[in-house]
Amino acid sequence: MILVYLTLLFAGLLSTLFTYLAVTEKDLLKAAAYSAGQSIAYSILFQVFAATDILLAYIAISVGVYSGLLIFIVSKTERFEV
Amino acid sequence: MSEAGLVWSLLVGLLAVNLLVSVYGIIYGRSLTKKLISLTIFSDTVYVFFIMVGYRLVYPTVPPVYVELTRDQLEYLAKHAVDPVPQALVLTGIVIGMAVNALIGFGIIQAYRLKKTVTARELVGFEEVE
Amino acid sequence: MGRRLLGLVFVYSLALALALVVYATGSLQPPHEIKRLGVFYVEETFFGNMTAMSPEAVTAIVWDYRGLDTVYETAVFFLAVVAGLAVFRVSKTPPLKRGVGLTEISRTSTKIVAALIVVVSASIALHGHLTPGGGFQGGSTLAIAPLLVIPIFSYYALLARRLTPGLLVTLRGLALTAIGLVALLPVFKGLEVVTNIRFYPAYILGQLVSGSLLLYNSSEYIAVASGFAAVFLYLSFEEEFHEEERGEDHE
Repeated sequence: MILVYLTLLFAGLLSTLFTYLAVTEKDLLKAAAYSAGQSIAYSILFQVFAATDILLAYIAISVGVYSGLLIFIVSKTERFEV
Repeated sequence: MSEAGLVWSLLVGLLAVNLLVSVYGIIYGRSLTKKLISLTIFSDTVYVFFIMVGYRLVYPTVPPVYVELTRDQLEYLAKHAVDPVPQALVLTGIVIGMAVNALIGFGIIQAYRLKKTVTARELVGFEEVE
Repeated sequence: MGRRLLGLVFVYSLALALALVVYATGSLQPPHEIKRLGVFYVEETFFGNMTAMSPEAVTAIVWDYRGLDTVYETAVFFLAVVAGLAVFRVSKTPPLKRGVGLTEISRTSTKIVAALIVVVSASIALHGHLTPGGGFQGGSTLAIAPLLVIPIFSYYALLARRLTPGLLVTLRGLALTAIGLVALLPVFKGLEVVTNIRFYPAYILGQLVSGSLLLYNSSEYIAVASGFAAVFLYLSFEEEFHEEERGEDHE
Protein backbone atom coordinates (compact mmCIF):
# COMPACT_ATOMS: atom_id res chain seq x y z
CA MET A 1 0.00 0.00 0.00
CA ILE A 2 2.81 2.38 0.95
CA LEU A 3 4.39 1.77 -2.46
CA VAL A 4 1.18 2.89 -4.16
CA TYR A 5 1.15 6.12 -2.12
CA LEU A 6 4.81 6.86 -2.84
CA THR A 7 4.35 6.24 -6.58
CA LEU A 8 1.29 8.49 -6.65
CA LEU A 9 3.11 11.32 -4.88
CA PHE A 10 6.21 10.94 -7.05
CA ALA A 11 4.15 11.05 -10.27
CA GLY A 12 2.14 14.02 -8.99
CA LEU A 13 5.23 16.04 -8.09
CA LEU A 14 6.85 15.15 -11.42
CA SER A 15 3.75 16.18 -13.38
CA THR A 16 3.57 19.57 -11.66
CA LEU A 17 7.29 20.18 -12.30
CA PHE A 18 6.97 19.36 -16.00
CA THR A 19 3.74 21.33 -16.39
CA TYR A 20 5.36 24.41 -14.90
CA LEU A 21 8.48 24.02 -17.06
CA ALA A 22 6.41 23.46 -20.23
CA VAL A 23 4.20 26.51 -19.66
CA THR A 24 7.05 28.89 -18.75
CA GLU A 25 9.54 27.73 -21.40
CA LYS A 26 10.21 30.21 -24.23
CA ASP A 27 11.80 27.61 -26.54
CA LEU A 28 8.79 25.79 -27.95
CA LEU A 29 10.77 22.69 -28.89
CA LYS A 30 11.87 22.30 -25.27
CA ALA A 31 8.28 22.98 -24.18
CA ALA A 32 7.12 20.07 -26.33
CA ALA A 33 9.71 17.84 -24.67
CA TYR A 34 8.58 18.94 -21.20
CA SER A 35 4.99 18.25 -22.24
CA ALA A 36 6.05 14.70 -23.14
CA GLY A 37 7.62 14.40 -19.67
CA GLN A 38 4.36 15.50 -18.09
CA SER A 39 2.59 12.82 -20.16
CA ILE A 40 4.95 10.18 -18.77
CA ALA A 41 4.13 11.30 -15.23
CA TYR A 42 0.41 11.00 -16.00
CA SER A 43 1.02 7.56 -17.51
CA ILE A 44 2.47 6.45 -14.17
CA LEU A 45 -0.70 7.75 -12.51
CA PHE A 46 -2.89 5.81 -14.95
CA GLN A 47 -0.90 2.66 -14.31
CA VAL A 48 -1.31 3.00 -10.54
CA PHE A 49 -5.03 3.68 -10.97
CA ALA A 50 -5.29 0.34 -12.85
CA ALA A 51 -6.49 2.00 -16.06
CA THR A 52 -4.54 -0.16 -18.48
CA ASP A 53 -6.69 0.63 -21.51
CA ILE A 54 -6.18 4.34 -21.01
CA LEU A 55 -2.47 3.82 -20.48
CA LEU A 56 -2.02 2.06 -23.83
CA ALA A 57 -3.88 4.75 -25.75
CA TYR A 58 -2.52 7.68 -23.76
CA ILE A 59 1.18 6.87 -23.89
CA ALA A 60 1.10 6.25 -27.64
CA ILE A 61 -0.87 9.40 -28.37
CA SER A 62 0.59 11.92 -25.96
CA VAL A 63 4.25 10.87 -25.99
CA GLY A 64 4.47 9.68 -29.59
CA VAL A 65 1.89 11.16 -31.93
CA TYR A 66 1.51 14.39 -30.04
CA SER A 67 5.24 15.17 -29.75
CA GLY A 68 5.61 14.44 -33.45
CA LEU A 69 2.75 16.80 -34.29
CA LEU A 70 4.24 19.58 -32.14
CA ILE A 71 7.69 19.15 -33.69
CA PHE A 72 6.13 19.41 -37.16
CA ILE A 73 4.24 22.54 -36.11
CA VAL A 74 7.39 24.13 -34.63
CA SER A 75 9.45 23.27 -37.70
CA LYS A 76 6.85 24.82 -40.00
CA THR A 77 6.27 27.96 -37.89
CA GLU A 78 8.39 29.70 -35.26
CA ARG A 79 10.65 28.03 -32.75
CA PHE A 80 10.85 30.78 -30.13
CA GLU A 81 8.03 32.52 -28.36
CA VAL A 82 8.46 36.27 -28.62
CA MET B 1 -8.37 10.89 8.93
CA SER B 2 -5.91 8.49 7.41
CA GLU B 3 -2.76 8.48 5.35
CA ALA B 4 -4.85 7.59 2.29
CA GLY B 5 -6.81 10.80 2.74
CA LEU B 6 -3.58 12.77 3.04
CA VAL B 7 -2.10 11.25 -0.10
CA TRP B 8 -5.34 11.85 -1.99
CA SER B 9 -5.43 15.47 -0.80
CA LEU B 10 -1.84 16.05 -1.90
CA LEU B 11 -2.51 14.49 -5.29
CA VAL B 12 -5.65 16.56 -5.79
CA GLY B 13 -3.72 19.68 -4.78
CA LEU B 14 -0.95 18.96 -7.27
CA LEU B 15 -3.41 18.20 -10.07
CA ALA B 16 -5.44 21.33 -9.28
CA VAL B 17 -2.26 23.38 -9.54
CA ASN B 18 -1.56 21.70 -12.88
CA LEU B 19 -5.01 22.88 -14.00
CA LEU B 20 -4.31 26.43 -12.83
CA VAL B 21 -0.87 26.55 -14.46
CA SER B 22 -2.25 25.27 -17.76
CA VAL B 23 -5.12 27.80 -17.68
CA TYR B 24 -2.46 30.47 -17.12
CA GLY B 25 -0.65 29.10 -20.17
CA ILE B 26 -3.81 29.16 -22.29
CA ILE B 27 -4.56 32.77 -21.35
CA TYR B 28 -1.10 34.35 -21.16
CA GLY B 29 0.86 32.20 -23.60
CA ARG B 30 2.00 34.50 -26.40
CA SER B 31 2.42 31.89 -29.09
CA LEU B 32 -0.45 29.80 -30.40
CA THR B 33 1.75 26.72 -30.11
CA LYS B 34 2.25 27.41 -26.41
CA LYS B 35 -1.52 27.76 -26.04
CA LEU B 36 -1.98 24.39 -27.75
CA ILE B 37 0.53 22.72 -25.39
CA SER B 38 -1.25 24.20 -22.37
CA LEU B 39 -4.61 23.08 -23.74
CA THR B 40 -3.45 19.48 -23.96
CA ILE B 41 -2.04 19.58 -20.42
CA PHE B 42 -5.41 20.92 -19.24
CA SER B 43 -7.39 18.14 -20.91
CA ASP B 44 -4.98 15.45 -19.69
CA THR B 45 -5.38 16.67 -16.11
CA VAL B 46 -9.14 16.44 -16.46
CA TYR B 47 -8.74 12.83 -17.64
CA VAL B 48 -6.65 12.00 -14.56
CA PHE B 49 -9.39 13.44 -12.31
CA PHE B 50 -11.92 11.28 -14.16
CA ILE B 51 -9.87 8.14 -13.61
CA MET B 52 -9.40 9.00 -9.93
CA VAL B 53 -13.17 8.89 -9.50
CA GLY B 54 -13.28 5.28 -10.65
CA TYR B 55 -10.48 4.05 -8.39
CA ARG B 56 -11.18 1.99 -5.29
CA LEU B 57 -8.73 1.54 -2.44
CA VAL B 58 -8.73 -2.20 -1.84
CA TYR B 59 -5.71 -4.44 -1.94
CA PRO B 60 -5.00 -5.64 -4.58
CA THR B 61 -6.72 -3.38 -7.12
CA VAL B 62 -7.03 -4.93 -10.57
CA PRO B 63 -8.19 -3.67 -13.98
CA PRO B 64 -11.73 -4.77 -15.00
CA VAL B 65 -10.42 -7.61 -17.19
CA TYR B 66 -11.16 -11.30 -16.70
CA VAL B 67 -7.93 -13.28 -16.44
CA GLU B 68 -9.78 -16.60 -16.47
CA LEU B 69 -13.38 -17.20 -17.46
CA THR B 70 -14.80 -18.60 -14.23
CA ARG B 71 -17.50 -17.60 -11.74
CA ASP B 72 -14.84 -17.24 -9.02
CA GLN B 73 -13.13 -14.62 -11.13
CA LEU B 74 -16.44 -12.74 -11.38
CA GLU B 75 -16.78 -12.53 -7.62
CA TYR B 76 -13.12 -11.57 -7.27
CA LEU B 77 -13.51 -8.77 -9.84
CA ALA B 78 -16.71 -7.51 -8.24
CA LYS B 79 -14.71 -6.98 -5.05
CA HIS B 80 -11.39 -5.79 -6.51
CA ALA B 81 -11.84 -4.28 -10.01
CA VAL B 82 -11.84 -0.55 -10.65
CA ASP B 83 -14.79 1.17 -12.33
CA PRO B 84 -14.73 0.59 -16.12
CA VAL B 85 -17.16 3.42 -16.95
CA PRO B 86 -14.73 6.37 -16.48
CA GLN B 87 -12.11 4.43 -18.45
CA ALA B 88 -14.46 4.02 -21.41
CA LEU B 89 -15.40 7.71 -21.28
CA VAL B 90 -11.78 8.85 -21.03
CA LEU B 91 -10.74 6.57 -23.89
CA THR B 92 -13.30 8.32 -26.09
CA GLY B 93 -12.13 11.67 -24.77
CA ILE B 94 -8.47 11.02 -25.53
CA VAL B 95 -9.12 10.09 -29.15
CA ILE B 96 -11.53 12.97 -29.79
CA GLY B 97 -9.16 15.37 -28.03
CA MET B 98 -6.27 14.15 -30.15
CA ALA B 99 -8.22 14.68 -33.37
CA VAL B 100 -9.35 18.16 -32.32
CA ASN B 101 -5.84 19.12 -31.19
CA ALA B 102 -4.41 17.95 -34.51
CA LEU B 103 -7.02 20.15 -36.22
CA ILE B 104 -5.92 23.12 -34.08
CA GLY B 105 -2.34 22.38 -35.08
CA PHE B 106 -3.27 22.53 -38.77
CA GLY B 107 -5.02 25.83 -38.04
CA ILE B 108 -1.81 27.18 -36.52
CA ILE B 109 0.23 26.18 -39.56
CA GLN B 110 -2.36 27.75 -41.87
CA ALA B 111 -2.31 30.96 -39.81
CA TYR B 112 1.47 31.08 -40.17
CA ARG B 113 1.16 30.61 -43.93
CA LEU B 114 -1.25 33.51 -44.24
CA LYS B 115 0.16 36.01 -41.70
CA LYS B 116 3.76 34.83 -41.16
CA THR B 117 3.31 34.90 -37.40
CA VAL B 118 1.84 32.68 -34.70
CA THR B 119 1.85 35.23 -31.90
CA ALA B 120 -1.77 35.62 -30.86
CA ARG B 121 -1.67 39.38 -30.29
CA GLU B 122 -0.16 40.05 -33.69
CA LEU B 123 -2.67 37.76 -35.37
CA VAL B 124 -5.68 39.63 -34.03
CA GLY B 125 -4.06 43.00 -34.74
CA PHE B 126 -3.29 44.29 -31.25
CA GLU B 127 0.38 44.68 -32.15
CA GLU B 128 1.84 45.67 -35.48
CA VAL B 129 3.74 43.03 -37.42
CA GLU B 130 7.24 44.31 -38.14
CA MET C 1 16.31 31.74 -14.17
CA GLY C 2 15.96 32.80 -10.53
CA ARG C 3 12.48 34.07 -11.27
CA ARG C 4 11.50 30.73 -12.76
CA LEU C 5 12.74 28.84 -9.70
CA LEU C 6 10.78 31.20 -7.47
CA GLY C 7 7.68 30.50 -9.54
CA LEU C 8 8.22 26.76 -9.15
CA VAL C 9 8.49 27.11 -5.38
CA PHE C 10 5.31 29.20 -5.42
CA VAL C 11 3.49 26.57 -7.48
CA TYR C 12 4.50 23.77 -5.11
CA SER C 13 3.54 25.76 -2.01
CA LEU C 14 0.17 26.57 -3.59
CA ALA C 15 -0.34 22.83 -4.15
CA LEU C 16 0.58 22.10 -0.54
CA ALA C 17 -1.78 24.79 0.74
CA LEU C 18 -4.64 23.46 -1.39
CA ALA C 19 -3.91 19.93 -0.21
CA LEU C 20 -3.93 20.98 3.44
CA VAL C 21 -7.23 22.83 3.01
CA VAL C 22 -8.77 19.78 1.35
CA TYR C 23 -7.35 17.50 4.04
CA ALA C 24 -8.58 19.73 6.87
CA THR C 25 -12.14 19.60 5.58
CA GLY C 26 -11.83 15.81 5.62
CA SER C 27 -14.22 15.49 2.70
CA LEU C 28 -11.82 13.60 0.45
CA GLN C 29 -11.39 9.91 1.12
CA PRO C 30 -10.56 7.35 -1.55
CA PRO C 31 -13.60 5.09 -1.94
CA HIS C 32 -13.48 1.40 -1.06
CA GLU C 33 -16.50 0.65 -3.27
CA ILE C 34 -17.21 1.58 -6.87
CA LYS C 35 -20.52 2.82 -8.20
CA ARG C 36 -23.34 0.36 -8.83
CA LEU C 37 -23.16 0.96 -12.58
CA GLY C 38 -19.51 -0.05 -12.68
CA VAL C 39 -20.22 -3.26 -10.78
CA PHE C 40 -23.07 -3.95 -13.22
CA TYR C 41 -20.76 -3.70 -16.24
CA VAL C 42 -18.05 -5.81 -14.58
CA GLU C 43 -20.55 -8.54 -13.73
CA GLU C 44 -22.50 -8.52 -16.98
CA THR C 45 -19.66 -8.28 -19.46
CA PHE C 46 -19.11 -12.03 -19.72
CA PHE C 47 -21.52 -14.02 -17.52
CA GLY C 48 -24.67 -11.92 -17.16
CA ASN C 49 -27.93 -11.89 -19.10
CA MET C 50 -26.88 -8.77 -21.02
CA THR C 51 -23.49 -10.17 -21.88
CA ALA C 52 -21.19 -8.80 -24.53
CA MET C 53 -19.19 -12.06 -24.43
CA SER C 54 -16.01 -10.11 -23.82
CA PRO C 55 -13.75 -10.64 -20.79
CA GLU C 56 -12.65 -7.02 -21.14
CA ALA C 57 -15.21 -4.66 -19.61
CA VAL C 58 -13.83 -1.44 -21.13
CA THR C 59 -13.90 -2.69 -24.72
CA ALA C 60 -17.36 -4.11 -24.06
CA ILE C 61 -18.60 -0.70 -22.94
CA VAL C 62 -16.87 1.17 -25.75
CA TRP C 63 -18.11 -1.01 -28.61
CA ASP C 64 -21.19 -2.78 -27.25
CA TYR C 65 -23.03 -1.14 -24.34
CA ARG C 66 -22.27 2.38 -25.56
CA GLY C 67 -21.55 1.31 -29.14
CA LEU C 68 -23.63 4.02 -30.78
CA ASP C 69 -21.61 6.71 -28.97
CA THR C 70 -18.41 5.25 -30.31
CA VAL C 71 -19.70 5.08 -33.85
CA TYR C 72 -20.53 8.80 -33.66
CA GLU C 73 -17.16 9.45 -32.01
CA THR C 74 -15.49 7.76 -34.95
CA ALA C 75 -17.44 10.11 -37.20
CA VAL C 76 -16.12 13.13 -35.27
CA PHE C 77 -12.60 11.78 -35.55
CA PHE C 78 -13.11 11.20 -39.26
CA LEU C 79 -14.30 14.78 -39.81
CA ALA C 80 -11.40 16.28 -37.85
CA VAL C 81 -8.83 14.41 -39.90
CA VAL C 82 -10.67 15.23 -43.13
CA ALA C 83 -10.55 18.93 -42.22
CA GLY C 84 -6.82 18.62 -41.60
CA LEU C 85 -6.27 16.88 -44.91
CA ALA C 86 -8.28 19.62 -46.63
CA VAL C 87 -5.79 22.21 -45.37
CA PHE C 88 -2.83 20.15 -46.55
CA ARG C 89 -4.32 18.74 -49.74
CA VAL C 90 -1.91 18.32 -52.63
CA SER C 91 -2.82 17.02 -56.05
CA LYS C 92 0.44 15.13 -56.57
CA THR C 93 3.31 13.85 -54.48
CA PRO C 94 6.80 15.44 -54.55
CA PRO C 95 9.26 14.02 -57.11
CA LEU C 96 11.49 11.29 -55.75
CA LYS C 97 15.09 12.18 -54.88
CA ARG C 98 17.98 10.26 -53.46
CA GLY C 99 19.97 11.51 -50.49
CA VAL C 100 22.77 10.31 -48.28
CA GLY C 101 20.51 9.67 -45.30
CA LEU C 102 21.41 9.11 -41.67
CA THR C 103 24.04 6.73 -40.37
CA GLU C 104 23.85 2.96 -40.66
CA ILE C 105 23.32 2.60 -36.89
CA SER C 106 20.18 4.73 -36.74
CA ARG C 107 18.77 3.15 -39.90
CA THR C 108 19.28 -0.42 -38.71
CA SER C 109 17.87 0.23 -35.25
CA THR C 110 14.89 2.04 -36.75
CA LYS C 111 14.17 -0.94 -38.98
CA ILE C 112 14.11 -3.28 -35.98
CA VAL C 113 12.05 -0.95 -33.80
CA ALA C 114 9.54 -0.18 -36.57
CA ALA C 115 8.97 -3.90 -37.20
CA LEU C 116 8.47 -4.46 -33.47
CA ILE C 117 6.00 -1.56 -33.28
CA VAL C 118 3.92 -3.07 -36.09
CA VAL C 119 3.81 -6.48 -34.35
CA VAL C 120 2.99 -5.06 -30.91
CA SER C 121 0.28 -2.76 -32.25
CA ALA C 122 -1.36 -5.63 -34.14
CA SER C 123 -1.31 -7.68 -30.94
CA ILE C 124 -2.86 -4.83 -28.94
CA ALA C 125 -5.62 -4.30 -31.50
CA LEU C 126 -6.51 -7.90 -32.35
CA HIS C 127 -6.54 -9.07 -28.72
CA GLY C 128 -8.54 -6.01 -27.73
CA HIS C 129 -11.56 -8.06 -26.66
CA LEU C 130 -9.44 -10.37 -24.45
CA THR C 131 -6.72 -8.22 -22.91
CA PRO C 132 -6.36 -4.47 -22.30
CA GLY C 133 -6.19 -2.71 -25.61
CA GLY C 134 -8.35 -2.26 -28.67
CA GLY C 135 -8.65 -0.47 -31.96
CA PHE C 136 -7.75 3.01 -30.79
CA GLN C 137 -4.80 1.88 -28.72
CA GLY C 138 -3.36 -0.36 -31.42
CA GLY C 139 -3.98 2.21 -34.15
CA SER C 140 -2.29 5.03 -32.31
CA THR C 141 0.64 2.72 -31.54
CA LEU C 142 0.94 1.78 -35.22
CA ALA C 143 0.91 5.50 -36.13
CA ILE C 144 4.26 5.80 -34.33
CA ALA C 145 5.94 3.62 -36.99
CA PRO C 146 5.63 6.11 -39.91
CA LEU C 147 6.48 8.89 -37.46
CA LEU C 148 9.74 7.05 -36.75
CA VAL C 149 10.43 6.20 -40.39
CA ILE C 150 9.87 9.72 -41.78
CA PRO C 151 12.74 11.50 -39.94
CA ILE C 152 15.19 8.59 -40.30
CA PHE C 153 14.55 7.48 -43.89
CA SER C 154 12.68 10.61 -45.14
CA TYR C 155 9.22 10.40 -46.66
CA TYR C 156 10.66 9.22 -49.98
CA ALA C 157 11.08 5.81 -48.34
CA LEU C 158 7.31 5.61 -47.83
CA LEU C 159 6.42 7.09 -51.23
CA ALA C 160 8.81 4.74 -53.07
CA ARG C 161 7.00 1.79 -51.47
CA ARG C 162 3.68 3.08 -52.88
CA LEU C 163 2.51 4.20 -49.42
CA THR C 164 1.13 7.42 -50.85
CA PRO C 165 -1.34 9.69 -49.04
CA GLY C 166 -4.00 8.76 -51.56
CA LEU C 167 -3.69 5.06 -50.75
CA LEU C 168 -3.75 5.76 -47.01
CA VAL C 169 -6.87 7.92 -47.28
CA THR C 170 -8.56 5.23 -49.38
CA LEU C 171 -7.63 2.57 -46.80
CA ARG C 172 -9.06 4.76 -44.09
CA GLY C 173 -12.28 5.27 -45.99
CA LEU C 174 -12.64 1.52 -46.51
CA ALA C 175 -12.04 0.79 -42.82
CA LEU C 176 -14.61 3.40 -41.76
CA THR C 177 -17.09 1.96 -44.24
CA ALA C 178 -16.49 -1.44 -42.66
CA ILE C 179 -17.29 0.01 -39.21
CA GLY C 180 -20.49 1.52 -40.59
CA LEU C 181 -21.47 -1.76 -42.22
CA VAL C 182 -20.81 -3.79 -39.06
CA ALA C 183 -22.99 -1.33 -37.15
CA LEU C 184 -25.78 -1.30 -39.77
CA LEU C 185 -25.97 -4.98 -40.80
CA PRO C 186 -28.22 -6.07 -37.88
CA VAL C 187 -30.85 -3.53 -39.01
CA PHE C 188 -31.66 -5.66 -42.06
CA LYS C 189 -32.61 -8.51 -39.76
CA GLY C 190 -34.94 -6.28 -37.75
CA LEU C 191 -32.57 -5.69 -34.82
CA GLU C 192 -31.30 -2.37 -33.49
CA VAL C 193 -28.24 -0.57 -34.82
CA VAL C 194 -24.97 -1.76 -33.20
CA THR C 195 -26.44 -5.08 -32.05
CA ASN C 196 -23.68 -7.38 -30.96
CA ILE C 197 -24.25 -10.88 -29.59
CA ARG C 198 -27.76 -11.42 -30.93
CA PHE C 199 -26.47 -11.05 -34.50
CA TYR C 200 -22.76 -11.90 -34.54
CA PRO C 201 -21.38 -15.23 -33.27
CA ALA C 202 -19.39 -15.16 -30.03
CA TYR C 203 -17.19 -18.13 -30.92
CA ILE C 204 -15.68 -18.95 -34.30
CA LEU C 205 -13.95 -22.37 -34.54
CA GLY C 206 -13.80 -22.51 -30.76
CA GLN C 207 -12.02 -19.16 -30.51
CA LEU C 208 -13.65 -16.39 -28.51
CA VAL C 209 -14.13 -13.44 -30.87
CA SER C 210 -16.80 -11.61 -28.84
CA GLY C 211 -19.17 -11.04 -31.77
CA SER C 212 -18.63 -7.72 -33.49
CA LEU C 213 -15.92 -6.50 -31.11
CA LEU C 214 -13.12 -8.13 -33.14
CA LEU C 215 -14.48 -6.64 -36.38
CA TYR C 216 -14.80 -3.17 -34.86
CA ASN C 217 -11.34 -3.33 -33.28
CA SER C 218 -9.55 -4.42 -36.45
CA SER C 219 -11.37 -1.85 -38.61
CA GLU C 220 -10.72 0.93 -36.13
CA TYR C 221 -7.08 -0.13 -35.96
CA ILE C 222 -6.64 0.36 -39.69
CA ALA C 223 -8.70 3.57 -39.75
CA VAL C 224 -6.82 5.31 -36.93
CA ALA C 225 -3.37 4.22 -38.09
CA SER C 226 -3.85 5.14 -41.75
CA GLY C 227 -5.50 8.44 -40.82
CA PHE C 228 -2.57 9.50 -38.67
CA ALA C 229 -0.05 8.19 -41.20
CA ALA C 230 -1.68 10.25 -43.96
CA VAL C 231 -1.66 13.35 -41.75
CA PHE C 232 2.01 12.91 -40.91
CA LEU C 233 2.92 12.26 -44.52
CA TYR C 234 1.23 15.49 -45.60
CA LEU C 235 2.85 17.34 -42.70
CA SER C 236 6.30 16.07 -43.65
CA PHE C 237 6.18 17.56 -47.18
CA GLU C 238 8.25 20.74 -47.27
CA GLU C 239 6.50 24.10 -47.12
CA GLU C 240 8.16 25.01 -50.46
CA PHE C 241 6.37 22.11 -52.11
CA HIS C 242 3.05 23.17 -50.60
CA GLU C 243 3.65 26.73 -51.83
CA GLU C 244 4.43 25.53 -55.36
CA GLU C 245 1.30 23.44 -55.29
CA ARG C 246 -0.86 26.37 -54.20
CA GLY C 247 0.77 28.59 -56.81
CA GLU C 248 -0.24 26.15 -59.52
CA ASP C 249 -3.77 26.01 -58.17
CA HIS C 250 -4.14 29.76 -58.51
CA GLU C 251 -3.11 29.87 -62.15
